[in-house]
This record gives sequence, C-alpha cells and structure tokens, in this order.
Amino acid sequence: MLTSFVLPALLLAGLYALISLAWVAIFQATGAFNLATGSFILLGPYLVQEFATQRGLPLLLAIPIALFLSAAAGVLTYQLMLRPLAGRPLLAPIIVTLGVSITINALVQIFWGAGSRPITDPKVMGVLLLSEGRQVPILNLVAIAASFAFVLGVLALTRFTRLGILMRASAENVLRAEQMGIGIHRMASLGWGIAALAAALAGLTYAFQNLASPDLALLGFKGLAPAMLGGFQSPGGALIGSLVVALLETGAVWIWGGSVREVVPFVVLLVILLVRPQGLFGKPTYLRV
Amino acid sequence: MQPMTTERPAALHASTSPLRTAALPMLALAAVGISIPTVFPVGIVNEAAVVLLAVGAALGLQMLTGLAGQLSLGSAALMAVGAFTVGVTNSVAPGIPFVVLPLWAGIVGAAVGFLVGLPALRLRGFYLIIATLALHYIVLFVLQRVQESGPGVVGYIVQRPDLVADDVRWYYVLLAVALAVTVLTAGYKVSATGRAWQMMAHNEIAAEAMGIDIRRMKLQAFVLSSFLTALVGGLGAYTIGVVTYESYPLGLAISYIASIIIAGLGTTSATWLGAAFVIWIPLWVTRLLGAYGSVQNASVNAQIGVLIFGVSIIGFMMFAPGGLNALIATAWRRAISWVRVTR
Repeated sequence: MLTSFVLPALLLAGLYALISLAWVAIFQATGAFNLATGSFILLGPYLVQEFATQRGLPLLLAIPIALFLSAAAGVLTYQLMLRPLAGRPLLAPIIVTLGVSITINALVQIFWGAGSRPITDPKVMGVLLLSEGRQVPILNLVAIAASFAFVLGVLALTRFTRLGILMRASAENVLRAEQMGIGIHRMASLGWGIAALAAALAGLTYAFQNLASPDLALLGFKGLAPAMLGGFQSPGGALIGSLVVALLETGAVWIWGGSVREVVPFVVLLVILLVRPQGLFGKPTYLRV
Repeated sequence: MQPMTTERPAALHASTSPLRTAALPMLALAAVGISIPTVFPVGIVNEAAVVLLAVGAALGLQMLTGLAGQLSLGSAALMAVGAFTVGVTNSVAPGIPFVVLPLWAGIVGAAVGFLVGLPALRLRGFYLIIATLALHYIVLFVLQRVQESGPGVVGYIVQRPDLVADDVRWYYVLLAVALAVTVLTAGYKVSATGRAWQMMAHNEIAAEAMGIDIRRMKLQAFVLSSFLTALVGGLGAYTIGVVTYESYPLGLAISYIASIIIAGLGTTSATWLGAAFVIWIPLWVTRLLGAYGSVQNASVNAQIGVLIFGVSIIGFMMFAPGGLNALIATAWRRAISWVRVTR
C-alpha cells in the first residue's frame, strides 16, 4: 500500500502542485491563460540534458542554469509577446501562447529529436529500506520534497512578503495597482518567471525518474484539472486540488490499470465544469447587465 | 424568435453588399480549384484534397472562433467522431448509401458538441477552451477503446463508392463540399445570427444588453460548428480510406486554429489560403530541405514546417491581426489607388 499507492500518489501530487502553480501564477499575474505551460515543462529536462548529459557539466551547475534559462524564457515571453498585446481582446493573448507552445515544442524536437532521451543519473539512487523488505527510492523523496518546498515557498512569498502583496494587488486590480505606483509589468514578469520555473522544475522531477521526451508537454494540460479544482485563483487551492486529483488518478490506475492514466484528469476537469465551475475555493463570478 | 433586427446597419456596410464582395474571391477559388486536376499530377491533387478537408474543418472553426469568438481545441476530436461514425456504421450496417453517412456523422458530431457546449455555457472567458480540451482527450480515449474492441490496430477500412472511387472525381466532391461550406459560412456571417455572434464576440455584456440570448447563441455556434467539423471528419475517412484514433492528435486541432489566424479571424474565402498554408508549408519545407538542405532527417524537417506556422501564429496575432485577408485587402486597395494616380 505504501510503496504502491501512497508514494506514487505523493509524487504525482508534487508534480501537479508545480504544474497547477504554473497555470495559476500566470492567470493571477496577468489574467491570461497560458497554453504554453506544457512547453515550459519541456525546457527543464531538455536543458539539463543538454548541459549535463551532452556537455558534461556537473548536475549541481546544470540544474540552476536550466532553471534560470527557463524562468528567463517565461519572462521574455511576457515582455516580448504578451505585454504588447495589452488592451487587445482576451482571445489574442491566448492564441499567442498557443503559438509560443507550437514554437517551443518544434524547437525542442528540432534540436533534440522526437524520441525520448536519457538524462544524467542524479546519483541519489539509494533506497530507504522499510520493514518487510519494502523499498523507497530516495530520489522519489527528494522529488516530492523539492516540489512541495517550491510551491509552499511561492505561497509564503505571495502571502507574507511586501513583494507578494504587491503581486496580489496588481492581480486584483491592474488599473488601481498602477495608479498606486506598482510596476505592474514587473509583477506580471515575476508571475511568468515563477510559472516557467515551476513548470521546468516539474519536468525535471519527472524526467529524473523517467526520460526526457516531447510527450512531457501533455503534463501541462493534465495540470489544468488541479488548478480548476482549486478555483484557478489561489495557489493554495491548487495545492489541495493537486492532492485530490493525484489521489483520484492513482486510485483509478489502481482499479482499472495504467491505460486510464491519461484520461482521469480530463474527466475530473469536465465534472468540475459541470458541477462546480468555480472550483472548491474560488468565488463564483457574477456579471449583471 | 430572432433577437436582432435583420436590417443591415447602414454605417457598417455603406456601399456594397457583403455577399457581393464575397462572391468574387469565391469564384476565383472555384476556378483555381476546378483547374488544379487539369494542370497538376494526381499526387498534388490528393494533397489538394487534404487542403479541401482542412478548409471545411477550418470554416467550421471560423464560425465558432472567428464569428462567435469562442476558441475551441476540439476540432480534431470532432473530426474523429465523424470518421468513427462512418467507420463503425459502415462495418455494422454496410448497406447504407454513401450520401447519408457523412450527414449522419455530422449529426452525431453535433450531438457531442451539444453535450460538451452545455457545461461551458455557464461561464465566460476561457472555459470553452478547457471543456473542449477535456473533450479531446476523453473522446480519443473512448474511440481508442472502440477501435481496440473492433478492428484493432489496422482500424476501420472505409471504401468510396465506385462512382467517386477515382481520386480526381473524389477531389471534385470535396471541392463542391468546401465551396458549399464557404457559401454557408459567408451567408451566416451576414445573417441575423451571424451578426449576433460577432457582436457577442466583440462585447458580451453589450450584446446581452441588446437582447441577444448569449447562451443560445453560443450553443448554436458550437453545435453548428461541431456538425460541420464531424461531417468533414466523415469525408476525411473516405479520403484516407482507413479510420484510426491515431490520425487525430491535438496538433491537428491546433493546426486548424493556426489556419484561421493566418487567414484572418472571421474570414471565409481567405480561410482557403490559411488551410493551404498549414497543409502545404510543412510538406514543401520537408521536401525542399530533403532535396537541397543539409539536414536529411525527415522528422526534423517536418518540425521546421511546424515551427514556421508556430511563428506565423505569433507574428500574425501581434503585427497583422487581420491575417492574410487584411494584408491582401490592403495590397489590393494600394494597387488600385496606384493605378488611379498614375493614370
């Protein structure tokens, strides 16, 4: 039960926590809906693969470089492509992020091929021996710890620091925030940077246990379910949404086998839309004419 | 009960009827379409047939996204529904005449669209995108099970009737359908419903204040678009000859979005150019790079084609939001004024 259910569920929850944070951070910072989230997931593992596995840099150097470049890609996407679209209809930024997604996915496959690629072994492959001969790979524990630490860190940042309050203020009301002298574009850039960083980290924790492959981009859309469940407005809600969706998915795989893995989050998504579209913690929005 | 007046606002369309403006490019498309098999070998004609299918699917998306302003990622899933409807019906009841099947596929697609559109209506903004994304993965999951319980990996074999078995004849069937869908879309664009859609796309609150039933209009757009997309999917089954779930990845839906952005949102005839762009650019880039380029890897070359339309989406959206349609219109106006000035 522990190694075959709790551990996979926690791993998945950590992954979803990062990816749903990537959706929510951008939605909160700019009100935009970033269809390129899956592509930012690819950047982490492929950049580490390039620097560590191909060029032989130590992982302790390659990982920070990869994460920094991913965050920079997020900030650049906002500054170069989304910022000039301010004031255009809602559809325009969404479609641009779709273009960004196609572009990044194509570039990844042009540079690194369409097949999956091995990534340097992080060499923390020891196992924790439990009673009755059960084993828990330490790498899994590190992945879980890193995911939750990052998400909780971002939560603490938005909740307890001055910067976080400025971010939330500009998310709440852009116009008023700007009038109060808050650099809204810096806040939006920060949101994009955090989102891209979270996505890249998600890809990295996943790829260290599997392989780097272009299919990782699909994880981006799967991470919509926990974000929606959490209400799409609060990183904390997304964290709880991640635990719920991860439990549901692991449970479904437990009952029906691995073939349902890819579809469970989307069923959850459709059920949320039908039953409670504002999510568990979101406030329903009313619009009157 | 139509919520909007059928009279055309004078200020919007001052001089010529929009249908008359649309007639000239449509005639040009028909002429080019008819002459393609007389000029090009059958290989190119078959590629043009795929372009025509993309035209149909893209126009279905134009109604929903271009006119009604609702972005959908469900095109590929709805095409798959259409294709599987044809494949399954064919294998269960082989006697049904050919003409009925694509229409039946369209009806099944419309029903699926209705079911998915319903929850998305409750909220504004991007919820339809999320619903259609969920639709995509759920529909393909179900269809994969259907295929595995039926013919397995080979998929459903679909044969065209003898009369149109020939590739060139089949091309003309698709050309007729694509032209009909273009006329239908152009007609909808200037109809009361189409105007209500466009107003809704522009400003939902204002549209509602004008008495437009937003939910009904959205559902109508989604159902009609789903019908057309599934119908085209059904015809696609006959074009390829075999139906497998693997032919309908999310990338297909994305390429149709690319085609309507490149053509210009809400355009009809220009959508043909967008469809030709997304089908032919990757093919020709692959060919040219294969022949002259240093990169010999076919999958890399195909990705360079994909890269081109990814960058085009960004470029058009940022610098030419009217798409090819607006660029051509501007060029045309400049050419005319240049001719007048020099004369």
